[in-house]
Parts: sequence; structure tokens; C-alpha cells
Amino acid sequence: MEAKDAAQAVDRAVAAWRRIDDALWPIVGHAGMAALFKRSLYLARVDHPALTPMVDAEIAPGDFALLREILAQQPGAAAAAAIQAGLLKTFLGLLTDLIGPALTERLLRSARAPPSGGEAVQDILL
Amino acid sequence: MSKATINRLQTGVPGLDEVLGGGLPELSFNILAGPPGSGKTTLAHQLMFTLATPERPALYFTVLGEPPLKMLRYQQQFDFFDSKKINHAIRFINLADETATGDLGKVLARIAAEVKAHAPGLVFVDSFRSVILAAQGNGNAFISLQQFVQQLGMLMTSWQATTFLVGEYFHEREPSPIFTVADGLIWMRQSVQGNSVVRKIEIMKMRGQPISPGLHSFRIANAGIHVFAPPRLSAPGGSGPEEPLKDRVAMGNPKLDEMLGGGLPRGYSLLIAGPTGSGKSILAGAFLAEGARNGEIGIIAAFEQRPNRSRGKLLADLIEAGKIGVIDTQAATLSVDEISMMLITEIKRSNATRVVLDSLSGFEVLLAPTFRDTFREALSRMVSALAATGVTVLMTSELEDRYDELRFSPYGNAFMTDAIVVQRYIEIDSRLQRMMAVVKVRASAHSHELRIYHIDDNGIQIGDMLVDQEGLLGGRPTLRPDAAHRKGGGYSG
Repeated sequence: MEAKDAAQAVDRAVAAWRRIDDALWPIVGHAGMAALFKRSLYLARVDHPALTPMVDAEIAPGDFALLREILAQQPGAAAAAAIQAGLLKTFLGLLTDLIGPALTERLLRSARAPPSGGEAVQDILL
Repeated sequence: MSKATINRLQTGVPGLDEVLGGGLPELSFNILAGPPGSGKTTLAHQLMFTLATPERPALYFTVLGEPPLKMLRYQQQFDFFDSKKINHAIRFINLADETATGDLGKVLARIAAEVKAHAPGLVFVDSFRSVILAAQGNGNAFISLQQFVQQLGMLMTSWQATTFLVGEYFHEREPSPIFTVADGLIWMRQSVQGNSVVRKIEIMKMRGQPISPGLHSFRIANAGIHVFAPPRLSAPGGSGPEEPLKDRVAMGNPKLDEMLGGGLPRGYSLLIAGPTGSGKSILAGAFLAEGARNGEIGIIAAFEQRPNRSRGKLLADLIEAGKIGVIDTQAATLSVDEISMMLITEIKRSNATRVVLDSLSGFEVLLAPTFRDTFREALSRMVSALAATGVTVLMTSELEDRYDELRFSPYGNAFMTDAIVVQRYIEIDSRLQRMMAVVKVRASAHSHELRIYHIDDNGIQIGDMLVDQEGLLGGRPTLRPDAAHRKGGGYSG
């Protein structure tokens, strides 16, 4: 049961990043999206050292295999969810700093996990 | 046979539709060109946010150039930027991956695919220079730039999209094949002279449109771009040359009214020229106050070095009460067309009937250097445009006393005003005195007397004609011989 929960948490996390990538790369380009993601990893690794291997790794745009691997190695669903939450928060914070909350919400609207409600982007993505 | 109808889109950019000759032709293929920082991307965004609707969606292709996130970061600072339109009526699409291949065919294919997917009514490609450079850099372009532009133009016309290529570097002196393909060519530039930077826009081409030729200044403020189109020179509504003479406005100085032949004909422009301290602004103030007393609204554009300089209590109270509007003239890069537009907007808004420009000399000093060469022409345009609104205009002009010549204005603009009052200093009995005369009131009888006047707390007090003096215009009059004789023979002997 525990293992199943953990696996689901990892799947949810990777699916969320795929949706974010799909929403953003057409607008900012693959390179633009990759740069944002890398910067988020770099900032989030301070609180979540498990992300450190990703900072220097060569990652192709839209490739979240290494993230999946790192999350899967965590001891349980809660630990994986905490890393995902930290990384996502950093990413959204970075984007919000750049283009403001209104536009961030607008651009990531399609990245909401189905079924979407009236909640804030961050809640839904988690 | 009926002709194809060309719809003109109202761009929402103040002044641009006038310059374009009535709006932007729908389905046209346009180039927005100019150096970096000239406002091309801002203009493109302003057009897009105004024109894009769910029924007429827009695609904004970003190429290499400015990173899209940066562009969005800065463009959202403008009032026209509406986040709610994004991913709805407006879609941004990045072409960096296709451009990086250097294959213009791939860029074109991606644009075509997105156009098919979203059926936009408006397409922007920003910046086009990046497309060209990428193609040149790689050296393996499968189609040439000209083919690319031609195919893009064809594609957009068939897909019924109004298109804008935002380009950075095109040299206006070297006609490019791209310009031939384009229906519209809008050039934006910055002119730098000393510390003054003035933005200018030129419609170099717009097929089928009666464009307003030449350079037009524009500003970029929070609301976006504002183009200052030259004021329209329409004929004054209904008032023939004879009619204004019956309807005269009081100047706030009965003696001056008398000298003018019964007040200044309504709708006339009057130039008051005189040396510093001769009381030009006092007359201008009296003119506005008299209007206010009769329930008329006035406008003052005061071009002073010190904006807070006291204008006198009466004027200050009338400004406070909203009877007199004030045009802000403190912008560092002022153009005559800009002031014209501000004045005409304010005249229409407040139904003003009296306008004061005090003074033209101060105006010239405040003007951006780049406009000084054409001050006279622009001023003439402004006076005509103001006249067309039907207001009565009073302008003052600083005039250095020159006793060896009779001039009314340093700009040679005396010809463009309907009436002229000149003021001078003269020496009589070892005292500095002031004298004034009406030089001209078009198509009207007026006094030709040289009248002495003085200034007191109640304003300008015009006295009598100096009948016993001659040579007044030379500044040092002498008693006429017969007058000298009457005075007791002081000169005899």
C-alpha cells in the first residue's frame, strides 16, 4: 500500500511537470523552459539536496526521467511529495517574479490537473 | 462590377489611424521596422491587444531575439496588456527551435501549421531580423529570404490574416525585396540631439491609403504609444470671411477693444509682441478673465521656465474653479504637433472658446531641439488647426526692442495671425514709458494710434495718443516743433 502510494505520488509529480512543459514551451521555447527548470533545481536543491544530481546533469528538454528516478528513490510518498512541492514552489515563484502572478496563472491554466476547480494553480498542480 | 471592400481596422493607438489614413487595411501584410528600442514590439503588442478578439484571434510568433519571458515581463507593464486575453484571443508561439536550424522552410512550415491550427485573424512575427540572421549564419537555407517572405505573404493572405513582420535592421536607403512584397511599411526611429530623445514614426508605404506623409512624433507612456498626428486643416465650420467681424470678443480692456475696432473678431488669432516686462502676460490674463466673466471657458498653455510661477490671484482662482484649463507644457521633448493635439483635445473636452499661448519664445525653448528647425511651419499648422476649431487665440511673443527696424515676431509668423498688437518701450522726459499699437486686424478697421500705457494693480491702463511726440517707433521720440512751441518755447532760442 505504502509503495503504491509512493509510486502514485511520483507519477503525479512527473505528470504535473509534463503539463507545465506542454503549457510553457510553445511560448518560451524548449530552451526557455529548460532554463527555468534548471534554475528552479538549483534554488530548490538547498532545501532538497536529493535534487543535486539533476543540477549538473545533461537533461533534454521535456525529459523528466531523472526527476522520476530521484523521487522514486525517496523513502515513501510523503518524502517524494515534499521534494515535488519544494521544486514546484520554487519554479512558480521564479515565473511569478518574472511575469507576475496574473500571467503565471494564465499561462499555466492548461497545466491544471484534471478535474480542475477554482483553486489556485499551485494547489492543483500538487 | 463591384470592387473588393477593404475594411480598415481601428488600431486603438491614439493618432495612428489618422497617420495611416483612416486605419489599418484588413488582411494587409505589414513591416514594422526600426532600430532596437524604437518601440516596435510595444506597437505590435498594442495593436494586438486592441484588435485581438475571440472571433479575430492573434498569434504572436517570437523568434530568437528578445526572450519571450522578458518581453512579457515588460509588455505587461502597459495598460493595454490584458492577461485574460492570453491563451484565449492571443497566443504566443516561440519559433526558436525552428529558427536555430537555419532552415527558413522549417520556420515557414511551423508558422503554417500554427496558422492552420488556430486560424488567426492577426499574425505577428517578432523579430524578423532573427529569422534572417539565423538563415545567413547557417548557410544551408533551403529557400531564400525573398521566397520565405513571398510565401509567408501568400499564406497569410489566403488564410485571411492581417500580418506584421517586426524587423530590426532594414536599411531604409536600400530597398529590400521584402518591402516590395509588403503592403505596409511602418518605420520607427529615435532622434537624439543633445540630451533630448524624440521618437518618430513614418508610414513609408500603405497600399491604397491616403497616408499622412513624413515623420510624426510619438511617445511611449504607461498607456502605450501615442502618435501625434499633424492637426487636421479643415475649413472653419460655417463661418465665412465676413461673419466673424460682427461677433467680437472683449479683451478685458475696453481701451484695447476700442483700438481693435470693437474687440477682437471671434475666431481670430492675435499676436501680442513686445519686449520683456511690457505686460503681454497681463493682457493674456485679462483676455481669459474676461471670457470667464462672460461664462466662456479658456485654456492656457504657459511655456515658462518656472511652472509654478504665480499667474496672479484672479487667474489662479479661475483655474481652481475650472473656468480655465491648463495645458501641461513641462515635458522635455515637446513637439508643436503634440501641443496642438493636447490643445484641440482640451478645446473639445471643455468647449473652450479662448486659448492663450504664452509665450511662443518660451515654447521654442521648451521644444525638443530636433523640432526647432521646423518651428515656423509647425506653428503655422497649429494656428490654422486652432482656427478651425473656432476658438479665439491669443499668442504672446517676446520681442527684443530694436529701434532701427519694425518687427513683430522673431519667427516671421506675423503673417499667420489675424491681428497683431505691438508693445514697445520709449523714452520720454528721461522716463521709460510703454507704448502700444494695433498693427493689424484682418479685414477690419482699427486704430492706428500709438498709445502710451502703464501697468498698475488693476492691469494695463491705456492712455492717450501721444499727439505731441514724433519718432516714437525709434524709441527716442522728440516733441513736435509745434508742440514745443505750445509748451512755452523751450526749444527756441
